[in-house]
Amino acid sequence: MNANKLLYDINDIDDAYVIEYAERSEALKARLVRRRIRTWSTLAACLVLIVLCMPLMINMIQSARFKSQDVDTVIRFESFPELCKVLPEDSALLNIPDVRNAKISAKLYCPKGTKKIEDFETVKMIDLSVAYKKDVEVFFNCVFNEEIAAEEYVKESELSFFPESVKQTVIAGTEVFFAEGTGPNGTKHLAAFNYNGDMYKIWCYQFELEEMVTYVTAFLK
Amino acid sequence: MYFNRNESAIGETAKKYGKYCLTISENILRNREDAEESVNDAYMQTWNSIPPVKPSNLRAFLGKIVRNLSLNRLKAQRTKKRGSGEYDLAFEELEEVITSPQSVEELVEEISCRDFINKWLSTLTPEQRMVFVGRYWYFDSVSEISDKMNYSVSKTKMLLLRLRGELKEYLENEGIHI
Repeated sequence: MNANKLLYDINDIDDAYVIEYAERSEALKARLVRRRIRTWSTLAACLVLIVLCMPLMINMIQSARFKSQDVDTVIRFESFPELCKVLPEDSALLNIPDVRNAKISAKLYCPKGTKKIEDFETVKMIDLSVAYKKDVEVFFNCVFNEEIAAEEYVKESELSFFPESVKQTVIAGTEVFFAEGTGPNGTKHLAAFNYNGDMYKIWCYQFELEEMVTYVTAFLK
Repeated sequence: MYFNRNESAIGETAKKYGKYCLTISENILRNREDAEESVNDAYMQTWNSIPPVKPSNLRAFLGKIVRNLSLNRLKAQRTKKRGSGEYDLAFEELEEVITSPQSVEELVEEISCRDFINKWLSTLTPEQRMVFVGRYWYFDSVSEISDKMNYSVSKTKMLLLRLRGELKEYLENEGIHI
């Protein structure tokens, strides 16, 4: 006998074994396809989830950089005159355009356990929203003694801001970066700049670029 | 339909089992055109065989004809140089099972070891049988079998090696050896 004859003799095995392989391999193949579809679907779903959550995660990470353990008391102000009482005389926030005719809401992030602001130097960050008439609301974020440069902030946040939209200009001796990006309420225009060692971010969903430039110019002059 | 000599039987057979037959033939011949010709020949042979033959399972019956015709066609086509199809690889693997082809061939050429193979196959687990039949009846590649069985390629290779050893031992015990 030789291998060739053996291969021919194998041809005559019981029909049951021939059919067993054909039918079971079809079933196994179908199961394999289903499993692959399931695996790829899961991977695709995870990918979509990651992409959808990316802006949220970036915001959380960026916020976490400021909200360290020693800055977890928030003192709120709902009136600009009240806020002015605690702001230093040279604060840029005193120059917010037309603020007397607007409603404000401010959050001052202070060290843990702070009851009242006695020394403004202890304030780490301010979040401020200024609501004007005609549904225009401008948001300010000011981080005091911030080491991060505005340019770095704008360019590192490529997922939040369209890289091609970043524009740089100098207003009243301050280098200002403008960028367009997306936020929870749609498209926003943002201006970021370092001023006296602090970093300011100003953004608005209702402004176009020109209006934003005009607003920041008024703020810095 | 075959028993009524209804000519659409061939068309219906091709529709139902065409892909199955073509896969078997292509595994052996590694050539689409040759495989199609073998499958067409198989349809004709089936038409000529039924009746009087009454196969218990048309699929297996057809598969065996296709396999046989494809092996014959390959045998006729083969030059001195061996090809690289699954047939050649399976052939080389099974040569290990046969201890001395020349001397045994002279002695037991007329003996078909079909019954012994069937008996041996019945001693295997369904999974072992699937791997053996897939490789040496259907000439599926090792990676295809691994995919179908959800085994790694090395596990399939190891299983095939063990099965060849067991078959060799079984055939020798049944007197098919030097």
